[in-house]
Amino acid sequence: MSAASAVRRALAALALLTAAGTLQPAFAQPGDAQQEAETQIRHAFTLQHQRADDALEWMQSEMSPQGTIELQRATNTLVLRDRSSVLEHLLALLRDFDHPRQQIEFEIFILEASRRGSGDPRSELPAQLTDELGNWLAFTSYRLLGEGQFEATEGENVRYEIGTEFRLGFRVGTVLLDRRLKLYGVEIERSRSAVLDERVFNGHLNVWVGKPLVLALPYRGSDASGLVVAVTVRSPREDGLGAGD
Amino acid sequence: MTSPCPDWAALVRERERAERSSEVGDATVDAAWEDALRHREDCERCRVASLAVDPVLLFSGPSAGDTAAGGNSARDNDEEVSAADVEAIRQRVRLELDGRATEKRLNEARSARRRLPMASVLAAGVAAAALGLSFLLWPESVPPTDEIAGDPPVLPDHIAMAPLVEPLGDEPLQVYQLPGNGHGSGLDVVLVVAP
Repeated sequence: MSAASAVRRALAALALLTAAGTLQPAFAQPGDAQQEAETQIRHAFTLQHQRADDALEWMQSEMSPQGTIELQRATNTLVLRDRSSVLEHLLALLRDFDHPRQQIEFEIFILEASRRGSGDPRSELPAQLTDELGNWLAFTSYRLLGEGQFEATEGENVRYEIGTEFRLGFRVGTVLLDRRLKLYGVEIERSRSAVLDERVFNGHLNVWVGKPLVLALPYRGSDASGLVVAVTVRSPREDGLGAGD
Repeated sequence: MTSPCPDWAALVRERERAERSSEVGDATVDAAWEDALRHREDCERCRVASLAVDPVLLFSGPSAGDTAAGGNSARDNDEEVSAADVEAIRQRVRLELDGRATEKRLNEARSARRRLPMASVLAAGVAAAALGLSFLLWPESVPPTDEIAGDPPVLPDHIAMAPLVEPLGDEPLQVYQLPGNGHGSGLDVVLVVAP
């Protein structure tokens, strides 16, 4: 190992130890005692447009160690209690979060991928994906099984059928400050026969607006073939339009 | 296919040792690895065996020169670039998560980041990338410090570090999230493997 490499690894290890909190006392600030003494303020925020429980998930990690957050689901309200400086930050995030519900455009492609195909391996891929997908996955051919485009609103529950073979369901979350959108409880089912449905995916997806998220789902027990599901979402915010614009 | 099937467990161990000791790039070391990958292309047994050892090998294949003989010349230029990229990715991705592991790591990361100044978090992120610990980086690309300072309010850590896929249900899925997440790359790719 070169000296430069050794130094780099030592610095890296130090940084990781720092991240793990083992050196926390070294970062104690002179103002810590003052911060702890800062008066805690209780602030209730009733969301007008978005779901408070979605915001709760988003806010929790932003509280100070002494802060608390309470969800009042019946009134779609979050009750925050924290230092005033932290509260300012939280409220700024919440105001952005609680923008009027927007239309979201979804574009979905479902492909069957294989390592055994012949011919142009990407001939059936959507143009948007052709430049990159082949560089990421070791499949050599793709067959388009279904595609769909539809619109839904933030907060809406969606069920969508792609042809007769695939069904998709999820709840649309809220487009966040950084233009990430959470799709809650995404279920993708495939009908292989009239009586048998197979669930091929079940989970939440965190999608960047405007950027395809590709799920590669190898068939059980096989590395040679599988499903590839590409999901792209678009919203007005993608074009730089903020809430209420 | 003429070469015998390699011992993939030993081969991957050796490859990882070579990666750690910076021997990758040595012609002899690389040739053995390329031979194995080329063999695997035509050997069902080896594909299964290799993925059992390291599922991330799904993203690996022989380099571009080896595939040219297959007659797929239309992709050759692309693969000269992509094979190296894919290999770099494979070295960096060592993420194996089930739902509980995801939550545990997220919680650890949240509590660590909550206590630290942003500069330390950025340093840890860069260090994690250098060590191949991509699982610390959701998203992988960390914005420059000056951008963060000039653009309040900042993105909550919880979301900035959230995985792209959070499996539900009882089945322990293996989720491999490739680096290049977040802004700056054209595609996010996640491999989800059912046992």
